[in-house]
Amino acid sequence: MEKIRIGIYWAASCGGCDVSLLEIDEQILDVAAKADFVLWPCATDTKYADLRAYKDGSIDIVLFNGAIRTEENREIAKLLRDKAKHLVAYGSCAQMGGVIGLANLSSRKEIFTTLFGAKTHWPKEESIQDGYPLHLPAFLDRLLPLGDVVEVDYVIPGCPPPREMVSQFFDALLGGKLPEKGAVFAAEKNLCDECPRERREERITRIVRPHEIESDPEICLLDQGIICMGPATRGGCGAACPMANMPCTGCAGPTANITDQGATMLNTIASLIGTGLEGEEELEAEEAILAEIDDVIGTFYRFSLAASIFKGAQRE
Amino acid sequence: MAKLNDNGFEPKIVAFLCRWCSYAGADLAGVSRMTYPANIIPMRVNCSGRVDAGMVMAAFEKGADGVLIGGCHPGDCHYVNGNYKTRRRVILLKRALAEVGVKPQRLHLEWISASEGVKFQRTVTEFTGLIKELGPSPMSGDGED
Amino acid sequence: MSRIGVFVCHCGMNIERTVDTQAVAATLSEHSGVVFTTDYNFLCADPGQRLIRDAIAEHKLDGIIVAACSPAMHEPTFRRVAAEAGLNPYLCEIANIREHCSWVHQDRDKATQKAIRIVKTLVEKVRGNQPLEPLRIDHDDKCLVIGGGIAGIQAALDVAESGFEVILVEKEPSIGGHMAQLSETFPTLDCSQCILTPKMVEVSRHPNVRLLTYSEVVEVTGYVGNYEVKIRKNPTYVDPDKCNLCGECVKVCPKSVGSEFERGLVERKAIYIPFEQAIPSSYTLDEEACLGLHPLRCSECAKVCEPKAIDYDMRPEYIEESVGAIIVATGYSLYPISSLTEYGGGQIPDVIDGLQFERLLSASGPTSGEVRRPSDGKIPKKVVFIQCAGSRDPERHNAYCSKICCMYTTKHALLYRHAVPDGEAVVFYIDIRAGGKGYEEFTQHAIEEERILYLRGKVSKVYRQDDRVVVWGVDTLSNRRVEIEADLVVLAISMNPHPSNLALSKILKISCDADGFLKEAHPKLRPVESLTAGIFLAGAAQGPKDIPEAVSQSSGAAVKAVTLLTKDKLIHSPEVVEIDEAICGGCGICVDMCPYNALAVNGAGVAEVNEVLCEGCGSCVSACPTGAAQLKNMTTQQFVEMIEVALQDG
Repeated sequence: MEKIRIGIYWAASCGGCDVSLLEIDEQILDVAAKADFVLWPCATDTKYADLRAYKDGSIDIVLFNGAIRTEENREIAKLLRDKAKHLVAYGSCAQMGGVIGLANLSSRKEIFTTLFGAKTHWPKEESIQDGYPLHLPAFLDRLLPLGDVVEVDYVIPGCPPPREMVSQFFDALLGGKLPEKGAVFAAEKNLCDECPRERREERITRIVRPHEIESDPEICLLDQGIICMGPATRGGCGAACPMANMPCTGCAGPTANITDQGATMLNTIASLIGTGLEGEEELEAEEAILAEIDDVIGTFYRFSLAASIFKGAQRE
Repeated sequence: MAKLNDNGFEPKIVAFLCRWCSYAGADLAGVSRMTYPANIIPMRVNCSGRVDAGMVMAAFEKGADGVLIGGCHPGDCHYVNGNYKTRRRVILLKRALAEVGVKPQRLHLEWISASEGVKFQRTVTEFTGLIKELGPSPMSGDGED
Repeated sequence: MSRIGVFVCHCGMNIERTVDTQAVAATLSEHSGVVFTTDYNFLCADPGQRLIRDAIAEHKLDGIIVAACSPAMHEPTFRRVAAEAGLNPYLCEIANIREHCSWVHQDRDKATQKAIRIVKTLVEKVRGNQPLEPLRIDHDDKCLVIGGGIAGIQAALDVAESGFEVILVEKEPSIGGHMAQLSETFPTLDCSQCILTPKMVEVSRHPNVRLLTYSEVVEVTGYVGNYEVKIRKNPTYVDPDKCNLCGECVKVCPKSVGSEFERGLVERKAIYIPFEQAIPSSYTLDEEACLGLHPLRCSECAKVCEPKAIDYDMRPEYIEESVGAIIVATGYSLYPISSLTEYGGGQIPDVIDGLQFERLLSASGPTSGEVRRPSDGKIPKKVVFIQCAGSRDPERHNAYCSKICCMYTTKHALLYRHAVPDGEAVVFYIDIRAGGKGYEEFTQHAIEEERILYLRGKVSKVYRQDDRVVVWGVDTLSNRRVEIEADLVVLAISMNPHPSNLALSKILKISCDADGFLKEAHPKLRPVESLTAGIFLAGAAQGPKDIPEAVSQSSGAAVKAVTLLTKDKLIHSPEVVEIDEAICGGCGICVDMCPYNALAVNGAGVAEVNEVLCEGCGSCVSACPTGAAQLKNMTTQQFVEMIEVALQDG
């Protein structure tokens, strides 16, 4: 039987996604037996020239992690789209920009100034280094999720994708049972569905950060004033963070029919915040609780800003 | 009252009006033949409490320069307390808008009762004037700066 | 929906003058899915309606938009027309291009463009609509009335007279409420008990009324038309069927406490009858006051009871009933006099509240109608009446106006002057609010002809000096300080919500307002309904009221209840929330948002809607973090599409 040809690529990424592939333990032996890795920059040395030489559609599946931050990321994404039969957005950054998508709150100029100082110190796209011309790929104005550049067939969400989801994906791939295009390798329901904490249907009367209180491991974190993105986030990870006494931060993205995860969670939190009474007299108290959320975008759009309706900062 | 800036810009404004108060207030403005700018496109919702951040952002995304939400006065909500829930959402959403650099004034929540035709007229007139002054929304373009 | 029809009305010149209806129809005919458009002079007239019916049939339309006046005007009309043509009425929508467009704009071009946008949004809405059938619900045909004061009695009688069974629940041992305590009523000065007692008898004897006194509603579940009610009947320890009212028990009972009916002016025994005309006419043994409910502890009453009516082993009895409607008539209480320390309330015995004064004036009261002050029984020669005591004082007391005090103070002063012809009556007032039939005349008569001194101003302090009560105040009309040495001070104390309102509102899942009165569904248009369908409000439970107002509201509430009970089936809008079970993770956030308790997370961990309770506000939809909760025919997707076409150019 012919081996499955797998490609793995990292664009703007931290490397955690590549590591997460190894979390499938002994299933990796199965993968090795049935598949060849024809591209994996993190583990093997493949040149772009080799990649370009592949026939279109000759790679069965490409797992693409990282977001599109540079012209190079965009170019390779397009190239891989051509070479791959199936393209998978692997991890939060490829899926929706990820945590690095928050850089979209700043302009390229602001980012470069923070990083390199005065404009004279900025790296140049074209320069001579040690006598050789050096071309640096252009830094895009805005970071983009993979889906904004090319068509994506599947999503394996998470930062990084948890073992259960990766394993589920390889089962499907090796078993020749890939689902219909558009599938997300995670639960259809939100995290609350698999979270064992008990929600008491209480109002949020104060906002605290996880380190500020000793939270009750049995009770819903929202009930305790810790903003947990679980309600607006796909399950599939087994509520890993809430199980470890930390709130969900939304890395798996929203459920299927939500277009904007941050706006949705904003709705939920604003609905829940209150003194327990609803009334004109409560306005001040409500405003005070709302004011305890600092960094609205960073809280609700931690992973999804680049894929949101906002996409990033708007200049006006 | 905001002065009307005749800069030739005709903004598009989506108005979500609750069925029991603000929509009826707009009806009364009509019955009383009060005139106001034609820039708003009214949409009826059962309760201002139904207006969520996603709807407001969809409006901005699809090209609105301003979004007006009309609800019942405090204590008068037909559905007990939907207006308070929307008030909280608007407070938070305005902060989100400000954080991404959109002028939060582009989103406006007003309590307009069924008997306040005059207030409806005044609100729409002033809000349209304000949005004219602010100019086109940065979100109504392609989003790139 | 792919065969949509758009009908644009001229409304004579009302729309046509500023909106080019032909242009609207022409533009819409290009819109995706629209297969028929027309404009017509008056669509609401018979020929217009026929035109719509014919077009639905001829063009096999599966959705229509009538662009005309506000849906508040003719939505029912055109939905009926659609139904007549065999189209589900929920597939007909109204685009408001008159009130929201032609009447408010003058520029014909701009108005036409706006009208096109408005109509397009409704086309998108209809495209996403699903055919719906109104929900039809069976119901019980009994009515529960909570509270046996004049409001509850009136409501119970009206419902019972309409042929429906009524369960009248009263917390106290007798029905009658505060009206039974009053001496005479303003402005006609009828004797309160003389007009009340026949009603008490009538309600107790009515074949359709089941009277449960000394009873409380402890649990209510269900929904409009189908409430399950649990009532606790507290033990009176006296069998009313055996009791022959001889009163021997009272004579031997060793324990006395302040009489509630007499507002503490005299004492009653632990075994007592609240007042002579009490219904049911039977004794009650007050468990808390009694020395021990046990033959070994006291048992003096049981020993002397010839008919053996006293039963120490009586236990609370729980009664369960299914009712279709509930009328809440819990009445009021008085603002505690002890909170009015600036007036010596609770400290000076000769500073009393209005209801105490009623008892002093009443022929059946502790002084047999002679006005004698509590401290020493002397007939007071100078009485000061202080209005707004505890009312209209947002800083210290209640912010609201208790409404009835102006009138009863006039009555008090007048009755006092009749009882003590050489006595002097002084009234301190802020304003005199005498709105009501014959009220102003009554007050004017008292001021002008009964020699009652009305001083406009607030009293700052009341204190005791020897056996007199000194009142310090300001006459703001002459701007001078006033100091009056009085024999008795009567405070027109603020009406408070009944203390049971809060607990009861939780049991019934209805709201209280900020002051603690029960909240009506709409302050102007639905004043006798609560926001919970099938629960109605009567009397002072909803806010301060005098007797005629309480009685009218009770009859109003009764009609509302009867209207509901008379129906074969209850009809409920089908535009309610539905939950996509495939997505819902059972977080329960919607449950907390619903003001009607229409949602619950079921055993399968998924939110479930009780469609009958859902009013369609969409608070849960806005809060739902997964998009699983959607309002039928008003889905998020529909709104997004409506927004898109509203903003589309060209």
